[in-house]
Amino acid sequence: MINTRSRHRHRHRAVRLALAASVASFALVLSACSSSGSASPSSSSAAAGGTYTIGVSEPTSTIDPETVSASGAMLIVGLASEGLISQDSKGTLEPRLASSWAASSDGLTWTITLRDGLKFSNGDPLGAADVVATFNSITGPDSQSAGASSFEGVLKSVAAGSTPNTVVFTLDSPFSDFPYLLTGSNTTIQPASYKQGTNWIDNPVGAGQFLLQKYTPGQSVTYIKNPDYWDAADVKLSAITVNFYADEQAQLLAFQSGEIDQINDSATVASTLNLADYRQTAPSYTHFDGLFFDVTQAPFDDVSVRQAVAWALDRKAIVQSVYGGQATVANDNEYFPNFSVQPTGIPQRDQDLDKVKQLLGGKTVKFTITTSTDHKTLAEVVQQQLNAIPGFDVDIQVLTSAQYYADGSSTPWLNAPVTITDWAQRLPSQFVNLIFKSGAVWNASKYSNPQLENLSSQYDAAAAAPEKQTLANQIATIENNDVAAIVPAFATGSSVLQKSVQGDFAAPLDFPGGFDFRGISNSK
Amino acid sequence: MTATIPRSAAPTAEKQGPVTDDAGERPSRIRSLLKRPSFVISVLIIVWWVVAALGWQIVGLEPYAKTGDLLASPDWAHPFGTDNLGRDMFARVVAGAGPALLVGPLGALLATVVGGTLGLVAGYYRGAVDTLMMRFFDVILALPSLIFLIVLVGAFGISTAALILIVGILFAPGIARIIRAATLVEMGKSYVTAAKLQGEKDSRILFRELLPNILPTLVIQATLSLAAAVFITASLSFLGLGEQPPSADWGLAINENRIYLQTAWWTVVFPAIGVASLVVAANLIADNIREVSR
Repeated sequence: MINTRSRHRHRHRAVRLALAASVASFALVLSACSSSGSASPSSSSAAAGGTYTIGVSEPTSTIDPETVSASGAMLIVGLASEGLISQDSKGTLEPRLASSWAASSDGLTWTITLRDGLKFSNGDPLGAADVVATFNSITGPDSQSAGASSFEGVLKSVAAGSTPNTVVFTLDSPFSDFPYLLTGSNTTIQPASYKQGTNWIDNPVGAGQFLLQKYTPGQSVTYIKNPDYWDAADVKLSAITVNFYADEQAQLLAFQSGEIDQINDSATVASTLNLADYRQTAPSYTHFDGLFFDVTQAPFDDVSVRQAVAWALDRKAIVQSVYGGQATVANDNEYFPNFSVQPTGIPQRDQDLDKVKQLLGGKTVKFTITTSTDHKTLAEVVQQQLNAIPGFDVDIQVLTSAQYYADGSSTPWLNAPVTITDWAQRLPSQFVNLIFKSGAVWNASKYSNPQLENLSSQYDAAAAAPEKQTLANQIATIENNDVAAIVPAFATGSSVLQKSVQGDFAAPLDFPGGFDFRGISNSK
Repeated sequence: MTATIPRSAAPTAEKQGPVTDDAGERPSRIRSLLKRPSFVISVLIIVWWVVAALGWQIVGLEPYAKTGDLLASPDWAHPFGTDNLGRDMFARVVAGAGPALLVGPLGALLATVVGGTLGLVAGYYRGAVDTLMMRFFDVILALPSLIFLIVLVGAFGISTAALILIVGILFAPGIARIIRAATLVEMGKSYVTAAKLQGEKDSRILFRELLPNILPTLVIQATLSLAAAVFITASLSFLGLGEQPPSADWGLAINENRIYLQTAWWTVVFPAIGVASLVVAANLIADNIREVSR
């Protein structure tokens, strides 16, 4: 009996030890399990230019070209539809469905000329009426399109031109950079019969480089080349597959196994992959993560406090630790480095602890930074840097994206005293209208400066380069001095590609670049 | 802790079976436990983590500051290496004992108090009260624990107090069932009958007569619940439903760093060892107590 019990005890302890081993591998197992993406194996390479496979997170809401905002959903739409104009990786405008564009002498109207013989994927011709209907739908009073914000206070009306295949955009005031707005999100052209709010996946009509063949929820989307595309000769790939993965780690493993052909470069990707074994696309500017202060609330109603925070940040360290070097140090204005006009004469801010001490005047500033999980690394680094300096006592609150961008008037991203929110690349004056203009819906800083708004309007109307330069200097100086928002860095994006991918992308795979696969092939 | 047969009227012949918690046997049990290496080592591990949770600030560890290069491998300066923000992983693992020993143990304590009390009441009164409670607990126990947990987090939030309450709710039914069963066994013994015949109040019988006799079972369940609670709170943090950045919580650290598993294993393995050591130590303590109590 004793022996039996003893054996039982030994067996029991062995179970415990086995449990020890099991729990010790807790993280490894969880990591591995969470990486088991639901993607199907990539298709075998077809004839011609082969098949290209991309990994994204599966969209969680209805895919509507006029309202999509998630990057994965934009890709799914963008492969099968096309806008009037796109931007290349240097920000130069590229004609797509439009062949040309011209402004009137007073700058109040822009006439867009469409290419001849454009067709939708269902065989219907694409003409001026479709363009007019698309923009009226995007900017209509009931529109739910995020793209509408770009045209608020800018676009008065859109109508078919006096000659076939022309469309006239009439503006509220002169806007010399108006064509850039036509590269914005949700501006791909839909048939005039399309109704906003429709589940586009059920009838994926478009005029893009590929035809959506099959959408399998939880797995993938498959496309084949669109033979009726206006530049079909330059589209070499015969098919594209978009696989869905749960997270970045799953995508990384899929890329390492060769299941997908590209992955977005990031600090984690760069630290894991030996980049010499792969190709990389040229980096291009994508967004900035801004630190917004509510300037109507203490202590941020004192500009000295805002400036102290701005001078306390080690921006070079932020570029390394947050962006893995994939960013450029910024100077608290919204002029992306690839924009044609760059402010001059404003010294670049870098960490200056003497200036911080002077600006704080011996007081301690205590505050909480609120942000979403997407920006928690920046929040942690800012907290880390500030708390290392006497005079700051900073806490952070990290919310899920759903909580941070919750609907309603009390949404945290527009109401918390200090927030971190990312903004995709736009024209500098658009930022003034969207985030700094008095009463603007997305003005998280509650900032108001009539002088800045006036200068921004003048900038939009200006056509001559010297005048634009002078105004840009004045605008950036105000933004830099008032520090309603800190822009620590402009992030760049690039993709790591398998070596089997041939050809160079004209632009990043995003909405300004128009998801352009011309010239790309895959020998896999 | 009172003797199990406090009244002289209780027949000595009935002093048998589980009614053994007298002054002579208690030191003997403790001596037996102290002779068991797995028990001693487990206790030392728990004591180490308690000391770590309470004392990391005193010794000047900096779990939140950048103290080295990004993702630096373990060396003399950083024995556990650094994470993606240059924070010392040793400091973070040590500081991570704080959240691990806050929610888990307090939640397990709450579960033990609530579950133990309800189990005692159900086993003592039986009848409708017993049936009602047990069927309700059956329903709760039938639910997948992680899904149930996520629903509770959605209902109560992720504050520390809410998480303690949630862990308490999760584990109380299991403890209640076991304590009820132990109570039913005790109810058949004469010391309970004697206490009733002497006109003792129900509360006194429950907590002065029955409770001391089922205490070993309760302690074992409490310890097992502690281990499970630590594990479950780490799982919640891993899922982003527990501690939030920049907390040094072990589950959160595992989740945040798993993307670096291929290049910086130390950012995941050391927090995992933290969870493992605490969970296994608590299980081994329960195991040893159970064996000695037989």
